[in-house]
This record gives sequence, structure tokens and C-alpha cells, in this order.
Amino acid sequence: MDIDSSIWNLMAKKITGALSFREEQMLNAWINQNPGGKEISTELEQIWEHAGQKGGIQHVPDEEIVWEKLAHQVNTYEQSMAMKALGRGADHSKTYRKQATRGNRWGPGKLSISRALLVASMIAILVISTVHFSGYKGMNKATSYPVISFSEFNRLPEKNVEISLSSDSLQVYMLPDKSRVWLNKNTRISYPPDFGDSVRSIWLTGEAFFEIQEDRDKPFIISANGSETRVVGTAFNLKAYEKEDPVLTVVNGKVEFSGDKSRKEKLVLIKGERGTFNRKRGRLIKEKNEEDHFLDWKHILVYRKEISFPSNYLRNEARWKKSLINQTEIRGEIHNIASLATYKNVKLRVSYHKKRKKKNHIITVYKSLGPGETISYKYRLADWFGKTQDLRIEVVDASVSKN
Amino acid sequence: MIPDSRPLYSDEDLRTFLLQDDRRGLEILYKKYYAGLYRFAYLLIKREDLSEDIVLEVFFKLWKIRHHLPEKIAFKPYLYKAAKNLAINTLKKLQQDPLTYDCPDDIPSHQADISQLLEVSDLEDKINIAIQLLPPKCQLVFKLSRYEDMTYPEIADYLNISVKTVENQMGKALKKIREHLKPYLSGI
Repeated sequence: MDIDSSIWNLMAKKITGALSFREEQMLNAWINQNPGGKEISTELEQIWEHAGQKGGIQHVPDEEIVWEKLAHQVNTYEQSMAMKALGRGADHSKTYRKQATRGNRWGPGKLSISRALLVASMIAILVISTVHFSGYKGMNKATSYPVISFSEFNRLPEKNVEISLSSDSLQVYMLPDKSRVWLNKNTRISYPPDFGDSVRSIWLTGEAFFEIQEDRDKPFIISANGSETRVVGTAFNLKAYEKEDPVLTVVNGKVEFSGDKSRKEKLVLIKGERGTFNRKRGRLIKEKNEEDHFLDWKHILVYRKEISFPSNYLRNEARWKKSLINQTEIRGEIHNIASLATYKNVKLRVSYHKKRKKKNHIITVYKSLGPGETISYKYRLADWFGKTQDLRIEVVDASVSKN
Repeated sequence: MIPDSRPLYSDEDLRTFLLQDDRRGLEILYKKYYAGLYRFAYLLIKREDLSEDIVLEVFFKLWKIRHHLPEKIAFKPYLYKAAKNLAINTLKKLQQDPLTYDCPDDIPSHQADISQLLEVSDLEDKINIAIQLLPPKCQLVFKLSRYEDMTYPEIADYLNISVKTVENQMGKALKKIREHLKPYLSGI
């Protein structure tokens, strides 16, 4: 019997359970019309059933053994990442910008866990907040990593770019017009990939600090919780979390702040002023900004840099001389120029030439060193019998002190 | 390892674990998909050592990119596709690509010999040989459906072929298996 391939397909679907109601009717109709059809159908069912008994792959390697291999691979990888994070000495702000304009995603995945927790706890300290930070305690707690998602930015250019940060994370982004925006935790922004033609519009929920590039032809408009903010080029902080009245604080320049799109009523705010939009009454309130710490949350970025690249924030000054017994004595001071981080275990590399041979020592200064503080240290070389030349001392690394 | 009596976690929970650097996320996913992925890789590549490598690589990569997972990730297709891509890359290195084979009706497969059908008496063994006689792509689709309990859309998705192609391959597979077995089936 010559059977059409579509019938075979239907029969196959039948035994795999993929048959739709309509297809089932079609198949049944065919079977009724074709003697022997029922027989074939039964045979296929037999095949299907028996195929399952000895088929497939019998042997799958032991789950635990392969898991061990995987765990080992992951451990090695994590260690190497931690080493890399310690060894990086460059300023990464440029990389940040590049990535932000391209619309890539990234997270502080390179930070080790302890650092991320540090950052997270710093946020909790810096931001005046009722949220109690308890660190990681399972999946229902706030995540200690940012969740950044761009809604298919690269593939669907007509869609808005969306950036959304989870709790306890902060990021700075470069917008398409080169304006910079710092996003506080639980903040979401969205904007057209290349901004509009006539205006630069962006939507905000949460808190953000803006440094807007001046462009007189294209006002920058932020819609947040019913408020609208218009600027040409300036710097300001806009706090507009859901269920909160939007508050705008100007750091530089002039900003227009209004309650709705019609902008019947609007405030013009300048440096040092603060506008609040009372959503219930639909009223705008202008006042002098008395809150000194409104930008503290933003400094967490500074802090993150400080804990990632300790040696960039430690200045070392040293003097040395030969003592009476011809031994080199080094006296030096290390100055912590960071604004937030406290360091300890500062590692110094002492290098010098002795009899044309290069010598290296790493010495560690264990004392902890708060922001702006200076500590002094002494060190003696074992160089009684010879001339010591090209003595150099530099900070190699330090660990971050949690206190 | 985490004991088996664990609560069922949603993909969202697992993603949260991974974002928090919690290795339980990796472990749960591993336990859930390890065997399936291994068999899947084996069907594609037919070498045990390489299949194990692929499974390792799939989970290792998942860990590496854990902070960049899409928001509404479905891990099952994600992992299977990753395994498929790795298998294809491996096959390219070995200069073979079973996925480019079609399922022509007349070309006999080189993996098994029709004469073997006569050598075994057991029907199940005969069926297995008949399956081995199928062309590679046909065989793969059939095995994924039969042994891995995959639905047509899943197979289509993981192999990057259309659902229609899956239907056709399945139809052909059953037709050919039956052809080979017809002399032995009449007695059932």
C-alpha cells in the first residue's frame, strides 16, 4: 500500500501524543477509508513501545563525579577572577562609558562576594533609608547584585532602552547624548535608543543624578511619577520613587520642574534650590535645599573604585640613609587619599640594586588607615656590606578594612 | 550535593540564586538537567568523552555569565541550545555535521547493517537496529522524541529546525522502521 507522507506524519504524531483534535479526525477518516490502516497504526504503536525498552543511552557518567569536575572548574575560575580584580590598576570609568553608549549590559560580576557585600552595606549606611540591610540570607532577600536589563536593545531598535537596578546596586551610565546619569538602587529608566529628534525624553522611577550635556535645540525632558523636568544642560538630583512625591535638587544650572505635561504651573529652580511635587494636591513647592547629604548615595561609586584599586589611593613618601653600621634605614609615610575607604595591610615593594643585582622585598604595613589618615613606617635593609643604589619604594596593594 | 528532597524552584528563583552568586542555583540546575543534557549531547556527537565535556562546558558557561542572564529566562531550552551549539562546534572541529544530513528515502545509513536484523531474535533488538538504520537527522529526531520525551516544538527549538521538519522526520522515521520490521511484525 502506498501511503502519503502526510499520513505517516499524522501517525507519528498520534503515537507521540502530538495530534490535534482536527488532525485526529483526519487520521481517523483515512483509517476508516483504507483497509489495513488500523493495522499499521497498531504496528507503529508496538514499535514505539518496544523501542523504549532497550533504546536510548544506557550509560550516563556518574552525576557526582562530573559535578566534582564542574565545581573544580568553577572554583579555579572564581579564584582567577578574584586575582584579576585585585590586579587591576586602571581607571575603569572609560570602559563604563563605552559600554553604556553601546547599550551592553554588565554588572559588577568581577567583584568578589565580600566586596559586593561591602558595597551593599555601604549603600545601606550612606542612604538614609528605612530598609534594614541584612546581607544575603536567601533568595527572598534583596539581591546584592544589580539586575540590569536592556530590553533587546541591539535587536529591536524601535524599543526603548530600559535599565533597571535592583536593591543595593548603583550604576552610572552614559546616555546617547553623552549626558551622564547615576542610578540609585531600585531605580528604572527608559528612553528611546537614540533619543527623539526634537527632544531628549527619558522616564524615571527611583532616584537618579543627572549631568546633562548642553543642547539648546533639544531640551532634555524627564518624566517621573507625574512630574516633568525640563533642562537644557545642568546637573541635578531627581528622587521619584513609586509612591513618593518627586523631589528635585539642583546642583548646577537652571531646571524647569512641573507637575504635568501641560506645564501650566512650573518652577524654575537654580543651584541650591529644591522642588517637590505634591501629587495629592497637584501642587509644586519650592524651597532652599537644607539637606547636605542628598548626594551621598552617589558616592558609593567612588567607594567602589576605592576598594577595587587601593594602590591608586595610597601615597607613599619615604626617605632613607645609611646608619652607623652601614645599614640602610627607610622611614616613610603612607597617606590615604581616598574619601571613603579604609585600608590595612598595605603592601610596599622595596627594590634596589646591590652589587649590580636587583633586589626586591615586599613589606607589609599592617596598621589600618582611614580616609585622609597618614601612617608612618620604618624598615631596614640587610645591606651592611655594599653599596645600595636605585632604591625605590612603591605601594603594590592593600586590603580593604571593613571598619 | 544538595539532597534530592528539595523544593521545586522556578526558573526565576534559580536565576535569583545565580545573580546572588549562590551555587545552589548551579547545583539545582545541574541535578535537574545533567542526565538529559548528557544524553542529548551524546545523540548529537556520539562520543562519551565529548558529551561529558559539553555538559561541563554548558554549566561552566552558565556560571560565567550568571550576571547577564535574560530577565525571563527559561533554563531548559537555554541549556539545551547551549549544548547543541557546543556540540556543533565540536563536530565542526571533527569535520562532521549530522545536522546537515537530510533524511533521503533511499540512502542507507552506514551505521548499521540490514543483515543484522536477521541476527537478533528479540524484537526489541530488531527495533534498535532498525533505528540505527535511519539516516542521522531522522534518527536524532526520533530518539529525542522517544528517549528524551521531547515535544515537537522542543526538538525544533533545540535543533534549529522547523516543527514541520520534525513532523516530516518523525513520519519518515516510523515509516522506515516499519518497513524494516514488517516481516517480523506480522506475528504480533
